[in-house]
Amino acid sequence: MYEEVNDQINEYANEPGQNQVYEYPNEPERELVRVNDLTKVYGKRTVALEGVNLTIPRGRIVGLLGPNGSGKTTLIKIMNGLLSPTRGNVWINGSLPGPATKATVSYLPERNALDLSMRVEELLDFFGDFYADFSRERAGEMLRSLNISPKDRLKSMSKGTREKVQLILVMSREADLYILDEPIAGVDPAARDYIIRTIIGNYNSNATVLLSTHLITDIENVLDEVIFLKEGHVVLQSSADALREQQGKSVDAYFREVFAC
Amino acid sequence: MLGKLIRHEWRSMWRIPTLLIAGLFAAAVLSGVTSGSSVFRYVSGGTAENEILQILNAILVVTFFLMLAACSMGIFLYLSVHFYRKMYSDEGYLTHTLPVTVHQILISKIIVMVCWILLNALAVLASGVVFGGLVIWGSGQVSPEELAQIAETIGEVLSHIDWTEMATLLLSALLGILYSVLMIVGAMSLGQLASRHRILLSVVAYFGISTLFSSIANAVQMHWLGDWILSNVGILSGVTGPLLAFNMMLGIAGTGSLMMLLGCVVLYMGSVYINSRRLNLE
Amino acid sequence: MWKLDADRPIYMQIVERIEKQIISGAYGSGDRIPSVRELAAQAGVNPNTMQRAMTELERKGLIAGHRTRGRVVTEDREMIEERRGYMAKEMIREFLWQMRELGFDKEEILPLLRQEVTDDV
Repeated sequence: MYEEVNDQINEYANEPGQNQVYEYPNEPERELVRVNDLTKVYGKRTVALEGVNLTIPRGRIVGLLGPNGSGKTTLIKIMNGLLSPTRGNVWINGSLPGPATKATVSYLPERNALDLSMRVEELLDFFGDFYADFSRERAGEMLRSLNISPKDRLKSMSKGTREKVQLILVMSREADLYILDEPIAGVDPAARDYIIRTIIGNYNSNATVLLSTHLITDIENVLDEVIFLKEGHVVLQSSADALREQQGKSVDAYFREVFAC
Repeated sequence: MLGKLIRHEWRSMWRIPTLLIAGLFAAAVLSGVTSGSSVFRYVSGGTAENEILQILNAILVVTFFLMLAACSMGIFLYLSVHFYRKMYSDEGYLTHTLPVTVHQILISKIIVMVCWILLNALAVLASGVVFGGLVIWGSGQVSPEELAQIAETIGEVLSHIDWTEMATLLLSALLGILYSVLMIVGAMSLGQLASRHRILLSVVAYFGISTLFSSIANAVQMHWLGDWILSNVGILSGVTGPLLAFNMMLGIAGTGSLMMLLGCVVLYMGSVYINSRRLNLE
Repeated sequence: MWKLDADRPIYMQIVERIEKQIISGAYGSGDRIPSVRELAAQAGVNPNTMQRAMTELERKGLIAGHRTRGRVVTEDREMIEERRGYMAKEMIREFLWQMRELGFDKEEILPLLRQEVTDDV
């Protein structure tokens, strides 16, 4: 696959238009997420997203990159059914966001969404109850490796440990789509490594991880594909290595160029 | 899924209301005992210790009444705060991404809230009976024979109650509880629409809706709909025949319950709409 | 995690690194290569990227898919030797170019080289 694709790089690169797409020919059967003319306007004037078109296939680790206010959070909220679009739609596995998609999408929000008064084992019960794809064994293993006891209360943990617990719960589901919103922001380097290793270790060719972040250096080696979001528009969707080849620089360096103020 | 939601909702919030009720009963028992006991009673020409004990008794009784107030009002406050936290604080990110419908989320929470308000009301009543009972028993002014007589009288009264009327009353009470719960749900759903001062807006919305609904209900009841319903009770009863409760409401409790029911429906549908399409998590 | 330069395609760097390991003998002829997943975890990269590197290494003939043992280093020692020679030539050419940039000519380079090699034991 990659050989033919290399030939196509030059073709795609010369294509006019805003969306530069390097690599990855269309594989419709493997399509997991389709975003069609997605627009979100708050009130009368604030345009968070405009005319966003995307397809994300299975088996990828995709970086959703853009500065604060670029629309990343809005896009993620819409994918999770937390926000309704003004125009256009998002389909996950062919369905609009709803209870069915929520059963196959595992979401790690930027904030701590867990009840702090709960114990780890209560959380395991909770997730196991609501999500059929939750693997209690996997979660237990990861927690043990971090020396987190099931009897611990979230309240008594450090912020970093709490975040790891939330990550473990999210990654212990056998979901089709993992949406991680700023998973490494405000996290110490060792924890960052742990998170990245967990993401890689969790990889399976049927699922896709969508990572939203503005800290690119730490994470770019892990990304298959990157999507640049600027002021509510997609300005780039490309394979990371193809971008490096084409631009002769790291994704982070190119990002700084594109988003230079 | 609904069962799971109810179970987890219950698990996440039973502690504080239970604590309140426990405190209530503790206060009832303590103050009941001291109020009934001769040791704590006023004795003319009494000693200093006697006075202290009287004061202690007074404090305990006041505490009991404070607990009564706290329980009656506190439960609403607690339920509101808990609802807001689960739905619209950071925890909302978990609540609203569970693989369930908005109906299921709301209904599970409404059911648990109604249960607790009922439990709370029963506890308040029961604590009153406990208190009263302890006072009477402790004061020794009622002989066992008199007690037996009282029991008999109560029994007779009970046997003469019209149970259908009782049922209607209870249903109306239940409807009233449902209405107050939905008021909380509706007001908070409205409040979260704002980007700032969301809680403040919820409070404003609460009073706003209250006033609005009362005005409508009054206007309607006083004029048009009330008369129309009263003059057509027969036909309406026939149409809704199987729904016994509905029948009773129309015939006995009148348009007040009807308005309340309507209010409940409006509040519920509005909340479902807002939480499905106008969710505004921070 | 391997030290990888984000300025160049990652998969290429992986190819280079594994190629070096094969040429130097760290991976012997016929040795089994760990699975894509294991290597990706070791390297701290995306399994897809690692897969791509493997495909490239297969294309170059350095590794081959064995029916029962997964991926193995090629048994074709001749080919490895060839690669080895080729890489050495590349390095030497680069070295010579750098030296010429510094202004050294042929006569000066050889004695310097001999000196360094004998010293570096």
